[in-house]
Amino acid sequence: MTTVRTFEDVRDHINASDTLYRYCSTVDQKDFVGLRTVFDDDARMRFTAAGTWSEWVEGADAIVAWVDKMTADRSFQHHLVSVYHVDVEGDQASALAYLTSHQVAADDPNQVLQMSSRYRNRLRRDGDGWVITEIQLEIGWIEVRTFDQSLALG
Amino acid sequence: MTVRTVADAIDRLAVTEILHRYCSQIDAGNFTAVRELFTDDARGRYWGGEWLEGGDAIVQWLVSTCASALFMHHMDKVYSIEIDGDRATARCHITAHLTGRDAPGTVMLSVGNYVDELRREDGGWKISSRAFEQGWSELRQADQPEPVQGAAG
Repeated sequence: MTTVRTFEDVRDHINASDTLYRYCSTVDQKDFVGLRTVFDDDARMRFTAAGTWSEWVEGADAIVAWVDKMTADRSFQHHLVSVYHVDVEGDQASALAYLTSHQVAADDPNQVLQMSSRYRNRLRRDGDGWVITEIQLEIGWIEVRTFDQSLALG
Repeated sequence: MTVRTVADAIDRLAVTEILHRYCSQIDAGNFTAVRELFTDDARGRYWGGEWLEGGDAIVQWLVSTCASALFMHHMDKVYSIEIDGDRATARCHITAHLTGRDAPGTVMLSVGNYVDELRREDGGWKISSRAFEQGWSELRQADQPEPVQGAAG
């Protein structure tokens, strides 16, 4: 647990958080060039639901390709994230971020996938900023909902 | 509050950190850590009930309330913090998803606000009062697939 006591603590928290928010915003915009920049070359990623972990996806390029593939059937994505903790040790950091995501199906604009999840990330210092070295996504609740979007617009 | 100095920024982030840690440590079932976030004389109130008096009483109530939980996800955003010397007030918006061990395919959605007071003790911040004001709650059901296939990321 990092106790915030100095300007450097504030700076590191803001800059590491910015990287984590940028991960979400680039995924949502399908900006895969931008997404690649948030990762260390050797980054890895995996996810779990109901206690079963996926295999690690190894390397930044592989992660970007994996996200592209996993979200190809989504026309709209909204990763609403709140970075809770950034614990810094020298040039390394661990971070916990809470996520509520809505992802609309490309073949059905009236169907959304909603998940409540947590990101447990590791980062390393990169110049003035931070890059992600590891993402572990824990999905705790997953739900498909349907609603006629024309009715929502009144 | 308007952040004008480095000290303002440090205090604001330190208070935010405490409020977020309340959520993450409850969700992790780490009630020893939750207790450390409260002053000894803290007050707590949930869903308009009676005030719980003392940090120990608050945590005891939380332990009892969360005993049957399978998954807890207190999604919290700190909206406002006002600091006056060694005291602070804060307001958080929260959307919680909660499932129980006896019904993993049912989630309780709870939407509301935390209204908080904090006090600086021994150089750090602690919660001296926390009230949860609920505005919407709902039970929803969905079969939980395992392992998850489909959109992630």
